[in-house]
Amino acid sequence: MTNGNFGAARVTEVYDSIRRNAVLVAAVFVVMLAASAAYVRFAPRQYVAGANVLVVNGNTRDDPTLSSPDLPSIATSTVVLEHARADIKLDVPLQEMKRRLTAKPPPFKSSILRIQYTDSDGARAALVANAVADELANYYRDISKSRYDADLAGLNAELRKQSDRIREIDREVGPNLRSLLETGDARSATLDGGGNANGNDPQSPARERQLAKATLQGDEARLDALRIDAQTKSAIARKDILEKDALYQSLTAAVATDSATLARYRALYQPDFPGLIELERKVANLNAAVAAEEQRALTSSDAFSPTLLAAQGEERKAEAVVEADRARLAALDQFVVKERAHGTSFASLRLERDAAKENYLAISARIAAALANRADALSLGSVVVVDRAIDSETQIGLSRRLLSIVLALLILAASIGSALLADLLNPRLRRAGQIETLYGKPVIATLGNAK
Amino acid sequence: MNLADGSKIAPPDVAKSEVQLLRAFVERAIPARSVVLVTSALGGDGKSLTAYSLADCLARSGRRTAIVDATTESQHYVRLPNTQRSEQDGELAVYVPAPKAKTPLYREAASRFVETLRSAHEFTIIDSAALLQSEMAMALAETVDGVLLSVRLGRAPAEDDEQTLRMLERSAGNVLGVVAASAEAIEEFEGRGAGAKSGSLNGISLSWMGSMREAFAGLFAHLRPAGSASLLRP
Repeated sequence: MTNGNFGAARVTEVYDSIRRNAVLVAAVFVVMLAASAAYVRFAPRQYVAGANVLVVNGNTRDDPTLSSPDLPSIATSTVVLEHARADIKLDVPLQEMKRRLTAKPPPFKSSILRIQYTDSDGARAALVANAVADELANYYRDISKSRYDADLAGLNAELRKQSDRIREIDREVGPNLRSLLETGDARSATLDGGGNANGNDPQSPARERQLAKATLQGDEARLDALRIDAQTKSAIARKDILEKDALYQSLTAAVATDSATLARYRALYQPDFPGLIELERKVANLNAAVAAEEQRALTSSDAFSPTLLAAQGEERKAEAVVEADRARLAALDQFVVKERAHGTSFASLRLERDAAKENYLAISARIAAALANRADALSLGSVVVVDRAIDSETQIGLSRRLLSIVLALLILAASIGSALLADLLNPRLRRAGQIETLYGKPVIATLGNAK
Repeated sequence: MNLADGSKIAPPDVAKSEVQLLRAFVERAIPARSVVLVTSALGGDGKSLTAYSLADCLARSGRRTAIVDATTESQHYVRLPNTQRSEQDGELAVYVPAPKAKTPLYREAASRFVETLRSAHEFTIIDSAALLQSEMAMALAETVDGVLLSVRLGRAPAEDDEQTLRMLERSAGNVLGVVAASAEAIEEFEGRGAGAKSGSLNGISLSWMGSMREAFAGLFAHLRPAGSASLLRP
């Protein structure tokens, strides 16, 4: 039998089956038609309205918690729905509201999240969808910022604690020994069983005091040398300046001549000799003139000597160094006294300060990252309502006309199916297959149409 | 079907393709000069329809064919005289039981009867009674070359179906297969013989196969049967 013949045979079988069970088919058709008509007439209508929100992910840095927030779950969460329900004074139970709400996640490469609400009232469906979208945006903004604010507050408090501890240690050690703390390597300081620095610590105050004392002695010696050098260079410079001053030279020569004449007069005359008295006055005046000229020459701008200035500068620097050495030595003496008196371990202080400093730096880095993420969350990670729902005219499911057509087709299929089912359940021999099963022999031919 | 005086019995109005299929199957399943018994488990299952349809189709295909109405047990069968068919319809000999010969054929007689038919015709189709209702049908089933079981579509299965199969297995009958017949086709076939004037012979209505016996009895009542019609006994 060809496929065409087989198909025709099947159609004929179905036709015969319907004809045999015409009453049943009619009854099923009528009953189902009545039920369907009642359903179409009285079935409640449901409307759906949707709002679209734009989701911008703020995950750009190293905070994994920023990636892919589960916005559909947030949108349908109790917190969001409670707020939305309160905003619009909706009297629908929360569970029912949750059941009617759908938040479809954004598809691949899309940032649009669609929030839909189903209700028997189209306007209310739009109202709820918009309220949920707004509340989602608010809530997302809050949770995006608040967690970073809390983190930052904690980090700042810890940072202040470490900073205070460093300052406290610095105060305890004193300003002159702060450099010793900062330059020392805490890990190189070996501690004894009691946690105190042992004598081999090259950075211990005792050792440092010895070094400071030696440094002071060296610096003092250098200062003395510099002073002698400066004095020498000063004398040379004075001589050079005065030799170049003609007035000074002439005055000096005049003083010398008059002083010689005065000496001769004193040898020859009595002290009350009028010439002697006059000459003495003249020599005194000349000496005064020489001194004044010397003062003028040495302080004039022409009297500048770079060598002398350099020497004097070195001298002042050396004096400053010596003063610093003395102060450092005094501080070390004071700390050593304090260490002996109170048992304070310099090494432990240094270790503690180093630890506090490391903590400070680590917390600073975390604060920087948190600030950056917070900025991201505020500026980029956000939810914005881009498409508000409007009063819905969209009815869920099929329209009445389409529903009627579909139901009619279903009724027709069910009616035909009832006939086929009745035949299937009927034990009478209606098909060749049944006969072959009964006899265990092939059906060679079928004469006439099977009814 | 043309009878001797030119009257016709129309062939059953069944799908010719199905009958052709049946004919082709029989020709392939058994060799020429064979005798096929058409029987069933229950009465009214379409044995006569099947037998006549097959016989007519074989005759039309050029085979020298005979059909035997063995629905009534009898020792004597006679060939209807002057049953001529056109060349186009082919040769079909019709055997009906002789009147007043109600004793059935038993095994040996049945064997001889079948052998006679086998030697006289290429194909002989025996329309028998239901197997469980006729000893003669059982005796014939053991001796023929093939058995066709006829089943009416739409009837419920019965215990007789199973018993028929068991009896055929015991008798070693060669069951060729089953022929399904629709109730409408059976009714139409039987009704045609009962009321159709086209099946009349000298004013006597013929109920094809189902009422062939009555037709032959009526024939004897008005006509003198041909002397050569008796097969087994004078």
